[in-house]
Amino acid sequence: MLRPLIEKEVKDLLRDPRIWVPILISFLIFPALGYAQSSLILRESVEAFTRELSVEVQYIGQSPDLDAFSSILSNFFALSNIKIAPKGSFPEKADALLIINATSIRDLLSGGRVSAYLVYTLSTSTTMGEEVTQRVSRALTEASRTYLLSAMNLAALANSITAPSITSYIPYIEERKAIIGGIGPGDIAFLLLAALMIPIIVTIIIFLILQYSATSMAIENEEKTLEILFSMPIPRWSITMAKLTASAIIGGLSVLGFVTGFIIYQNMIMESVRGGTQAVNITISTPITGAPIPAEIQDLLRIHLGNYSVARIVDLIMPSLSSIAILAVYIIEVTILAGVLGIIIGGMSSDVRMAYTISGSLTPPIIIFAIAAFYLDPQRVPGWLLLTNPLTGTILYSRIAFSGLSPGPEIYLYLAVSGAVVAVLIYLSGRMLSLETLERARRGAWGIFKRRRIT
Amino acid sequence: MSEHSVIVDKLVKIYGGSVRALNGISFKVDRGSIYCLVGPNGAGKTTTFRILSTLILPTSGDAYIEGYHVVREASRVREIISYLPEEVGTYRNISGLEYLSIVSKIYFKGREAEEVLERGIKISGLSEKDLARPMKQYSKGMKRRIQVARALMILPKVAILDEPTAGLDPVQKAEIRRIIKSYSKSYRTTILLSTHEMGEAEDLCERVSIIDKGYIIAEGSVSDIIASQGARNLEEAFLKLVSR
Repeated sequence: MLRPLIEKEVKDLLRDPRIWVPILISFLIFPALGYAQSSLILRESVEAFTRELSVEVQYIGQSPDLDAFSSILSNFFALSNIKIAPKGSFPEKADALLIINATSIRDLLSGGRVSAYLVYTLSTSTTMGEEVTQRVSRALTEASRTYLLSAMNLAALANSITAPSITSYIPYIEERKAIIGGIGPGDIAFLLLAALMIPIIVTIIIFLILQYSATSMAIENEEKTLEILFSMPIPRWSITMAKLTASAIIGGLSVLGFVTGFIIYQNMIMESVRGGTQAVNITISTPITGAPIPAEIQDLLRIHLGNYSVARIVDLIMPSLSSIAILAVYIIEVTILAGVLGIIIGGMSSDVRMAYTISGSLTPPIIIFAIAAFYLDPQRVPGWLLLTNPLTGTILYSRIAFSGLSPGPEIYLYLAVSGAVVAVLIYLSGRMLSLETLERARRGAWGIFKRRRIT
Repeated sequence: MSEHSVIVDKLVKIYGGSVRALNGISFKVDRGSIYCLVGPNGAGKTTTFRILSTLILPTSGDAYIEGYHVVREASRVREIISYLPEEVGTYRNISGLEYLSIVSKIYFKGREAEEVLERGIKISGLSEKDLARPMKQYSKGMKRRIQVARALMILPKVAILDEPTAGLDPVQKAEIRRIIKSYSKSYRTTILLSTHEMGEAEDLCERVSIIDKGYIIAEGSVSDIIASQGARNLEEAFLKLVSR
């Protein structure tokens, strides 16, 4: 009996332009946006960072080092494709005016800094003139450093002075008794990004499934087909389950389309940024790889940590099977939760427009509430409060899973409680499925669950 | 077994504590007959049918379908009835054929479901091409034919049809009436039908209850009611009754 009902729901929803058009748009919008952005970013950033800049340089004050410094600066300007413009060129004929306090050049030798002012025309391009500030200030920094090193006869020690130490970061995951070798704090932030994908998917699920199930129920009200369904020998839970299943199937397709589009978008943007930076010879960060840890360091670590294993960062991005299973249960629960809320909203709406209005108003606070949970530290917040409901539970647990941590065996209890919360909601939505209750709800009566009705 | 397929006994329905839709109506419907509730808009026809279809609760009184109480044995009643609400729409994005197929699979399985579907296609009288089109492209008459076919194809013991021809043009009305008559003749199903069109009642119904403001003000065969009011036709009798 459930199968034909699901068939009806899926076919009716999936062929509805109000449903499939947003699915299509969610799939196409990101690649389209990515194409537009990447072509603009690539073209404009390459043009901005490679074109010849014209900078008028003016010194104030006097310094015996002025000629030497000026000569070094000219060299670095030439390397950066910056032409020194004649006096009086700015702003008509030069991109910027660099005013250098000549007396400050000598301060370099006593621990001071070169003081300069860069006046530039704010442009309307996507870079907003950032290429001028970056290229000129970099050339000035390099020139100042080179002048200082040569003045102090330290040119041979340039690397040691510029970057005197190199620290390799080795994060230790106490619960796993594992270290990750050769990564920096920026790479750990990548884990946070991976964990962020779950809340993003969850918010999309909430938004879409709530809307689909609300629409599906509101269509029944609008077309008055609910009366026929209720007069058929169909258990009320079958109607709820059919609507939930259909919404989940279509929501799954939408999420797939959305995530695929988002990944394409990300790739396009990354490629364009990479292409742009390579074109202007800017070093970009290296991809995440676990560099080997020397044997003597590993021996020393054993004294402190006992037996430990060396994990790769990928191991953290891919949580354990049990974590994936728990996360999957949470996602199923949140899917059902959104579907049930949608059924209640749709049931109380006289038509699809009303359902859109109510679900559209309710979705942002729900999503904000869910996203807020992402910024909580799972080790500091009470698990019994946030892991016992599917909404915050899914998001908080994704943080835990992607941190390589485990909340302990009590997670199964929390999971069971959140399952019970969902079951109660299904029961309540089932109680709503009577003609009189729905009509009363539409009229705005609060006692919709109180009065007797036929089940 | 009683010869009555439907028994309605002192049915009362009060909405929101104050609006009395039914004021203790009673009637009995013979098995295999076409019985009509005739009355103006707001007389209580739809409320009666909704109670009999297990959709809403009576405030007091009892009603039985084939011996099953409509409140206490609602799920048994749903297995043997078929309800066609007034002005019901359709699922816009599925075809007539898909809809009939889905409904047949809700009630039956395998070969039986296929037979029911065949019967539904026949009752609807729609062409193969029309049946394959999404129902949002259907005219009002076509939608009604699909819904009538849906209600009758499962061979319910009691078919409850609330104003099955409402809003249709004269040709479409005649077609729906022809379907109901021919079906009743072929399968001897009890048909409970409501209308506010006297011509329709005269054409279709074996027995009639005239209902107004929640009361049954006359009951009997069409000819008995006409005779009792000294009228020329049912419309005249009806007008005499409701103007009292």
